[in-house]
Amino acid sequence: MSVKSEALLEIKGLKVNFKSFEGTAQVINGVSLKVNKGEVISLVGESGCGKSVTVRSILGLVPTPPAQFTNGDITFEGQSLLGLSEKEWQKIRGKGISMIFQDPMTALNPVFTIGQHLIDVYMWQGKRNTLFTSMKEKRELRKKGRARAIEILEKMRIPDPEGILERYPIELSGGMRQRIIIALALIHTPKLLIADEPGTALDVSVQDQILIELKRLVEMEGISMIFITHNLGVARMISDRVYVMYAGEVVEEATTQSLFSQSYHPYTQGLLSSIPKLNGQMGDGIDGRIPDFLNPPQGCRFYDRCSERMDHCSLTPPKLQTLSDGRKVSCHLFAEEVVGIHG
Amino acid sequence: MDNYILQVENLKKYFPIKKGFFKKKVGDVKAVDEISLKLERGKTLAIVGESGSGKTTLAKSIMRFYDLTEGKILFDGKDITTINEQKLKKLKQDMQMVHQDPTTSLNPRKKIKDILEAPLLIHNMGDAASRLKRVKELINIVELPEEFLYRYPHSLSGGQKQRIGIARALALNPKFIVLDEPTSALDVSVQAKIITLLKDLQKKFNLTYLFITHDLSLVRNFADDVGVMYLGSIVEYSDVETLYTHPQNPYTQSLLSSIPVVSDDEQSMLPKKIPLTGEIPSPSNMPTGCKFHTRCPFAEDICLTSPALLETEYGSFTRCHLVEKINKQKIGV
Amino acid sequence: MKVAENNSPVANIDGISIKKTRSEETKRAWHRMKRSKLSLVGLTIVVIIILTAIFAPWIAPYPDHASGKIFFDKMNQPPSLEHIFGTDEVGRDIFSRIIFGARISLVLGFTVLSIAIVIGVPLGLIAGFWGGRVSTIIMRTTDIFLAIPSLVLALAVAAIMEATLMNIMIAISFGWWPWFTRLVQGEVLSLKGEQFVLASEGLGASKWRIAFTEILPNCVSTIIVKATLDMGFVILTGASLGFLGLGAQPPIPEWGTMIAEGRVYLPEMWWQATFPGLAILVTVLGFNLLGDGLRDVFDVQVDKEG
Repeated sequence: MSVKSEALLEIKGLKVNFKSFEGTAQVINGVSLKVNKGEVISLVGESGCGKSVTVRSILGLVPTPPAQFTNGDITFEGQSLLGLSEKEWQKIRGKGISMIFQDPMTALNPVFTIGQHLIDVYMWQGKRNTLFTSMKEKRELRKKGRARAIEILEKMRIPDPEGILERYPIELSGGMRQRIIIALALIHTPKLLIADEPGTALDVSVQDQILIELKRLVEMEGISMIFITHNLGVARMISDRVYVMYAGEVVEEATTQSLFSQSYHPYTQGLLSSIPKLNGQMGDGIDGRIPDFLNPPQGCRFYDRCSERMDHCSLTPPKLQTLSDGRKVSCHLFAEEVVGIHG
Repeated sequence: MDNYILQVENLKKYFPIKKGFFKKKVGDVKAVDEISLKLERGKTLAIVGESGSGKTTLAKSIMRFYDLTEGKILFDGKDITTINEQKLKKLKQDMQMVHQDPTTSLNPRKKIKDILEAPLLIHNMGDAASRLKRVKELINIVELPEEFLYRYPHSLSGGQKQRIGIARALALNPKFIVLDEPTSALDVSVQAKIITLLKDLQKKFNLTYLFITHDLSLVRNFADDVGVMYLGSIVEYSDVETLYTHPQNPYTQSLLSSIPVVSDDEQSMLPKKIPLTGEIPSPSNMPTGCKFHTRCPFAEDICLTSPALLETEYGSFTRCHLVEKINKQKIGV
Repeated sequence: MKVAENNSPVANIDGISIKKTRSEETKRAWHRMKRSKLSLVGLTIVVIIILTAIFAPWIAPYPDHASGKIFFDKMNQPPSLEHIFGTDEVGRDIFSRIIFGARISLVLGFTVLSIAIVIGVPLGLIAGFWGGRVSTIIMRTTDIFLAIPSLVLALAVAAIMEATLMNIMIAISFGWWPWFTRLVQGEVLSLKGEQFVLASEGLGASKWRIAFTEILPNCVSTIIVKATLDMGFVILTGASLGFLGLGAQPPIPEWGTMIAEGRVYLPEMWWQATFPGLAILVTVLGFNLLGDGLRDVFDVQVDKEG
């Protein structure tokens, strides 16, 4: 139907377990997702849905043990990311994939200036050892780093970039710090940017400005982005496609436009109706809490809380199926509509 | 009987800034700067503001956690501005608070039963048997199973913990409850449940709520009246309907316009985006005149003088010199 | 039918009995303790020492040697099968005396720490929670006590009073309580800002109630860890005073006193000072390792985020 878009990152059937003395927690249970070049996707879900673990796996930031990758694969530009050595990772982190972390207050080191942060990241990306770099080379790199830092700050429309470089994190407001963190992640113009709920710690008006800025920037630079959030409104604003996650599984995937005009999965519906609306309508929320990952239910993981559960939902887990309208949903309610048989 | 349970007149709460070895006072943080409100029985008043707006200080001042710098608070017709410790303790039976983060507001070393029994013990109510009966009653009111009483808070989910927080606030049969961002630490699907519970309880026990929040879309679904706070002052005060259909103050408009909504219907209800410059200034170094003029895109020379809170054509109150001009302009465009 | 059964999700998930959660808690603690081999070693040592102290008369091969008796026929014998740690200058079995010495050391440790906790903890609570002038007075007093090395302070006190075990315990306690005041005051200052304290204030609770029923229970684990770590040092201080002749007097089989007595015969009759010395070493080590282990156990883990 559409032009075949090229996948930049693909996760196929990822399963991650966490071992502790209580047993094995099946935290990620067969997550598949795809990010095309130049595309912005959102991973939406409430606490405990596994969105953070999923993206941390992409960057190799999930420590094993306690985690175990029992199934699936993550490929970035055709290269598998599971089992890379630390040396190989350093080449990918920053230049290939980079990440914006959640908390703007703690992500910057208080004893370094903004300039030191930005220039250092520029200089030492992918280098294991700085001991044998000559003074001359260092000076060159520093000069280039400074120029690049100013360039990126200008692109983000931050006033007085030269002045900002001399400031310490504590002198900046929360919103400005969040912008610096974005600049840090973008200084090497990565191909894929992972944003873990940036701006949630900030006020709505500031968050709004930052998200608009971030979206403009990734579009301008042609960067793909995975945006993690618990806020469906934010996902609607920023992304082209949305993955809704629940208890370590993707329950629904759709383009932003179609998801917000009509959601299919009972969980997505419950979530959307729970959000307080400006017209004064607000649903009753969803009963219960997420299942125990040590003893996940045999059937659908949403079974206990589902308003439309059927008998067989507790027995067989549903699979993420492509429906006739091209949307994907993991729910037995849509069993008949499956087109063809997909793996 | 007086129809207002709470009346606040010109409330001021300043925190001194002390510097140097001798702790010399060099200025004030004007956390709450001349606020007046009236709260009808059985109604909900929401105070909306960003962090640093002074909304929590206002709530704590009303709860009399602090001594006031200036102003007057009438609760149930009685002046509670300056009262002794004994009367204050008595007052706490009628006035309660639900705290923001249910994880830190419950003592991790106490069982749920002891947490719920504490208010009864503090006010010397009943014997062990009658207290246990009341504790069981409370846990049923917030729709949790009785076996939770013998558990510690950490084994409960966030929503369940907040239910315990609410049950604790109800223990003494208060008339008035301050809700300090009771759902900001919770997931939306749980938030909806808690809000539903709070609404039910309000009807059942004829409670009056003062609802402190930063979430304007939640206010729409919960409150009767709204006060929008900016740097210690109320900049707009209105009934909930009018605030969303006819927001007057440019600050309110900008706040509304930055809500991330989930449907096209809602999007069309939002005012046009107003780009603000910068962030909320520090309350220790407040702008003179209209406090919002440093960020307001419409600011003019007149904004260097303080505007008063005046009634608008829609019956709401707003604090802006240019209100007519701005809103005419918008209709013209 | 199946659907109806599972209709109440809350009851479904929370159907665990209270007993189960309690034993779960213990299991979790044990698991954390087990992770470090060294703390297990510490625990083993401490358990053995405590059992030894309790059952000393039954364990010691020559229980009557703990007294001041003299056995001329067995003087200064090197370690042998009969006397595995040898005998001292009056022929007493050193092994038996060390076993009885464990009693003295433990009693000393427990007494000193109990006194220190009883005095230090309430003062720390008051100083931390009330603040203002009260706090200044309490904290400056502790500063003065802390400025004098506890051994020197104990020496001074012991010199004034008669050298008995009881007096030496009082003397050591004198220098020990300020540590607990310091510790608790710091802990209270950080707990004071917690929301549950504010919540209790909002309920109309008095300061005393907040301090003792809300804050104190949250300090208990820190106090236990500190006390366990201190146990070794208190025993060491007691032994040092004993060695200087200011503590328990002969013929009481106190380890420090025994070293002092055996010291004269070094290096020829090395066993007389060495074995009591080893006993002190092992005891101090055991309590320190256990203290470190307990710290890990009490370190409340942050809930992991999904």
